[in-house]
Amino acid sequence: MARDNATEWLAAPRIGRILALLGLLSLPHMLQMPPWASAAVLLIGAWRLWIARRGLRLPPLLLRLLLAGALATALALHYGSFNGLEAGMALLVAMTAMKALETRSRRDCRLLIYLGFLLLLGQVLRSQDMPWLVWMLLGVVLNLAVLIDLQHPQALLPMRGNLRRAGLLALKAIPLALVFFVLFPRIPGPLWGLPQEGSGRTGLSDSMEPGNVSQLAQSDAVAFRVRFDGPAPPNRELYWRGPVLSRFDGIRWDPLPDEGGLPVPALQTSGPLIDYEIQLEAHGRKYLLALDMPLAPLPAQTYLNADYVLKSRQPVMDARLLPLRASTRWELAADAPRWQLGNYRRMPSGINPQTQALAANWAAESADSEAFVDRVLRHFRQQPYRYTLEPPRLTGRHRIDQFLFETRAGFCEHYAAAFVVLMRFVGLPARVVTGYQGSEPNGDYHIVRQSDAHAWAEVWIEGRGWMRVDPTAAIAPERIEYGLGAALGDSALLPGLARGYERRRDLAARLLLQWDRLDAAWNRTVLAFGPSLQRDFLRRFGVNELRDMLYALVAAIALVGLLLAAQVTWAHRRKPEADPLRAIRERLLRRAGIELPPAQRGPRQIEAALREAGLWDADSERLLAHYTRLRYARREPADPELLRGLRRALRAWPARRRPPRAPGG
Amino acid sequence: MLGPLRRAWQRKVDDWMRRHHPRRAGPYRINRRRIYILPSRAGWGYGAGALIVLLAAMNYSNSLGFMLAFWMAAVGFVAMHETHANLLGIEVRLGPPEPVFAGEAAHQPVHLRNSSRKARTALTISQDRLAEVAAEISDCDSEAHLYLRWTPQARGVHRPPRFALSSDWPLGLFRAWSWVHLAQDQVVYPKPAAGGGEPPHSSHDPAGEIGLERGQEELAGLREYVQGDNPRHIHWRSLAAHDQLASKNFADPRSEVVWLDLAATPGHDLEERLSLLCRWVMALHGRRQPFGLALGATRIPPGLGDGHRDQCLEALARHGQG
Repeated sequence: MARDNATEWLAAPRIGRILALLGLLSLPHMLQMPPWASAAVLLIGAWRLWIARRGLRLPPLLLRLLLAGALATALALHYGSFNGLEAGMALLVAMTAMKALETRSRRDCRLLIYLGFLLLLGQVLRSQDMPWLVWMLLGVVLNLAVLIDLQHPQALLPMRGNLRRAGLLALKAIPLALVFFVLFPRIPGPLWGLPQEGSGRTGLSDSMEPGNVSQLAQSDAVAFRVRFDGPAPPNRELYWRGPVLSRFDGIRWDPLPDEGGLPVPALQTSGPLIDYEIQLEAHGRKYLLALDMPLAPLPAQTYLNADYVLKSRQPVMDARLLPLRASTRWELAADAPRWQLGNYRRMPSGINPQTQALAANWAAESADSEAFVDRVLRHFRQQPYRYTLEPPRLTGRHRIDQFLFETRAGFCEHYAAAFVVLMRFVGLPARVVTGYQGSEPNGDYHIVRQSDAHAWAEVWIEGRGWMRVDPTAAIAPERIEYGLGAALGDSALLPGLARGYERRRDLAARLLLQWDRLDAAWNRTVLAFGPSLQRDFLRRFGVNELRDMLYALVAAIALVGLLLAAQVTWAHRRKPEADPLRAIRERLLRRAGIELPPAQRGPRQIEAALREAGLWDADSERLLAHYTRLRYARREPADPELLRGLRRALRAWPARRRPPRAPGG
Repeated sequence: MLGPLRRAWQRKVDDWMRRHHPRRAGPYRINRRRIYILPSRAGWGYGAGALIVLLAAMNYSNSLGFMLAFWMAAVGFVAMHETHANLLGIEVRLGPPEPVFAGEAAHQPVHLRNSSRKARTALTISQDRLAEVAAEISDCDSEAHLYLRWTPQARGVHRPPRFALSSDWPLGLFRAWSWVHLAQDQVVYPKPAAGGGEPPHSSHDPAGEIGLERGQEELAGLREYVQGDNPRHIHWRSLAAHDQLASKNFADPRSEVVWLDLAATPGHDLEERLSLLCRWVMALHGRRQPFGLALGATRIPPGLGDGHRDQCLEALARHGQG
């Protein structure tokens, strides 16, 4: 292959730097991409470097187009579409590699670096954990360093100098960036197509099949954090209400659609009001979590549905702060007409016959609904039911039968589901409530983890309304009192931080909790800084309206501009005069306020100027003579003793026409 | 259809330029009011990138995304100041240029002086269209020198065109420039005629005087030493003074002295004649044949050597120009 002149400017070390930068920025993406795609991207990068090393021609356009098309098609087949974040990022990484393959000019290189910024963006869209902030800072400085490198007309600059320059530049930009962050008007919500609900996030799902809550419970990731205004209620009262599931098809539980038109039932509360704030991690769905039961005032952009679930109008795609109020003593829908409760009694017919028979038996024994509920709970308590994270799999049509009569081992969702089915067989309205139960105190707040995920039941009793019944409490009361770790012991399936906070006091756990505090602060102040937090924050400084916000923004930008200009003036100070005599001469001229062209600053010209300024007297004559003697002494360097004397004389020189009379005389 | 409009616009721009950037005599110091700055193409691209990041951050309500977008914008803002500062305070002077023949490229020395503590990087000079870089230097700690290349088309004494001293250091997102329009004479000799025959053999002094003035019979001038010159003709004093061997040039009254006379030179117009004279001057100089030049009232007595040639060429360049 022949040498290519166009690639000469872009010698191997230069493109090498760019490729190394892009490789680094692509790394977190490549770890998520299918291995073949990552391998292809690395190969293309190596190929480009080899071309530069050997001074070869770039591959022809047709080949590049074919390769790009093949890569894009393969990725599209793998991901199904380019709609999701992961697929989009994979495409970006692949196309960046393809761009590198055709890069020959400074402009191409620039484009590659701009793509580097987008690679950084992709990573922070994926995760906003604190370490990625460091990653982003680092990435921006590296990007700028390579951009500076490109800009210099000469050959490669030492990377260290580039990094220093880029670091300084980035550092100087931080104050303005912060100003923008605080004052730039935020608008709520997505701009285009709603991000897919629940895409790739952990959290409670909107539906329940036996098995999903127990799977979730094996993660010690933080679901949300809570800060109580007053003292925290005891653990057994901390039922965090999530999706309520009423539709049952024999296997799966689903929520009723919100559009059903059922009214939000009446709620009566007694007991103290609990004010608290939830710091919810993004889970990508519309339900929110609230302490049973939520009370008005509700946060902005939220509502309560007919099942009394607090919901957001948009999927929760970022961490959110929700100021909430609750009461743990409540009475819900006590006077609901029976027709509104039909949904909670519906059962698929012809399945679970043994359960149906059992329910019929107990109903015959029980005096009233409450006695029936007690009978069911007594059954769970007395029979050898096990509470476990890994129950035997349920198969076939009659899964509740199988669970109640054969396996007798399950996690909370099994018990809640079985309880609701038993209720419905005797015509009692009942439903499954999913959410979280309990919390772990850490400093001034509480952590609720995915391992606190829980499912319980609600049954509607004539005259009392909806009543919470937690069958798990009948089987494993310590779960409700102390958490999952207490209920399960040291099960290997439980992740470290979920094993019950009372049991572990080792250093690692304490460090992790410290880290969580930092993380909580980060989430509360930075990540949750959206439209509402911005409004609240700025209101404290009297900035209420959008117009004020814009004024403040403009003023801040102007201020930063002034500071930068001042810094420039400071950096542009005159160079110190290397020649001490010349420095003295300049000082003399400055103090006398005389301006002379550079070539006319000889002693005679200075004398003439001093005369003209009316400053010629015995002092200045002596001073100038002293200067002249040294200037023409032909001794290099000038005698330090004489120089000092001259400086002293200059300092003592008044440099002003003497006033005719002494002041005050 | 757009032609006249564009010309009118160009005239407007030129007028504006003349008014706001008159030619100055002395050194030109770039102060804040003399710097223009605009985003470069790369800068618009960068802005678009920051906007994409901002939109994505808005769509996903992603705080770190916002930070990235805002940081990118702030970096652009700081870069704008740095680019501006890279030009600020530089003093531009023009040095005396070498004379050139019309149609040849002239190289105008441009001296940059930076008396501030801040080192300057990647300065370029360019004419009219800022995009075309005429010369660039990578670093300017205190002094830097570069050449403005331009091509005067006609003989005479010209002044170099207005040019821009510009910079897009450090990120290339902004281009700052300052129009430099300084006075410096550039002598442009006529373009030597392509043909037109041999110089005349006339030793006739157009003014009717004797070819050589008294006293010049012995010594007509000095010329560079060529191997084979009579060692007795070497001018030793110039060796001592200029470190360079020179031969004394004796104008032999018997050897033919050529007088070049504008009035006797064929040609359709003045410029053509001057071109032809220029060609002859070069030819006679190459042959080491002494010659004199008469351009109307201007008379250069016969002589030889580089100095004589340059004197004659300059007379040709300046003929009829003030």
